Amino acid sequence: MVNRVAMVALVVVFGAGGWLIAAPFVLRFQPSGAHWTGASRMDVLVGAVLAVAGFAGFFVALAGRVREMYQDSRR
Amino acid sequence: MSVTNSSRYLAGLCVAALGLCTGAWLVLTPFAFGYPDRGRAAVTALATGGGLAVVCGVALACWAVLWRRKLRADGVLAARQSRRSRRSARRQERAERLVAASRQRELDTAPDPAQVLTDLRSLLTPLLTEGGVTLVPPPASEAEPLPEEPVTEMTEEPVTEEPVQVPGHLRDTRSAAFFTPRPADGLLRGAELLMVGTGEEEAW
Repeated sequence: MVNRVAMVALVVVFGAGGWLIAAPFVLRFQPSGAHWTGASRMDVLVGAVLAVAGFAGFFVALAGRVREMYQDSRR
Repeated sequence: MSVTNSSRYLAGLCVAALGLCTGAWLVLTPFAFGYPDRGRAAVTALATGGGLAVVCGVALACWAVLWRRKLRADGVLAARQSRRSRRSARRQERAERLVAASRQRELDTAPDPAQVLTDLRSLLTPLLTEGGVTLVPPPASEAEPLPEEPVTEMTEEPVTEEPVQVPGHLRDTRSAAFFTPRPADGLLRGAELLMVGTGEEEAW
């Protein structure tokens, strides 16, 4: 249970990053073709960092879990 | 145990911590950069930042719990005492304290040997006289001098019935020997009875 919650939280971090990248365009506080505002730039930057971290963290955790399962099956 | 397995927990902890910090940063940005009040950008930053901070706080706790479990399973951390075993340990300590206290109290109120002997004699007299056994007379210090007759009576009468168990006296060879007719140890028997009565049999 705790394991699943922890893994889901990593997915949520990735999702939050994706949402922050998309939010200025979805909510239209960044008009297309116009110069990027400070808020849009900040959201996209923070969203990108979160998305990369969430993606990497999720797969590192998943790989570790798979390795543990292999070790358990060998015992 | 493999050290490389901990990278999983470390990655989870790092991402959760980064998410927590980023969430806090997103909550602060509308105030720090002067976003338009109630604007879409401010609401998005506040809502996303708040939600992210909560989720990442939970994730941080989960990864910490998982890592601790793993370390315990590998024997790096000491096994945690369960609530039940802690309770039983407390009960054991309490029982030991009670036993120690009662022992001390018993020593403080040690019975008077002469009184114990008198009580014992009054209890045993009817039992022994009913079974045809004459009670060993009281020591010379308490009553009249020891007469010769009871001892000779016991030597003459063969003990055919089952041996009488003195209260507090163990049923072993010594206690059986206590009731076998021996002519010369009347005083010794009296002394043994005294020791049994005062609880000092082991020392004797």
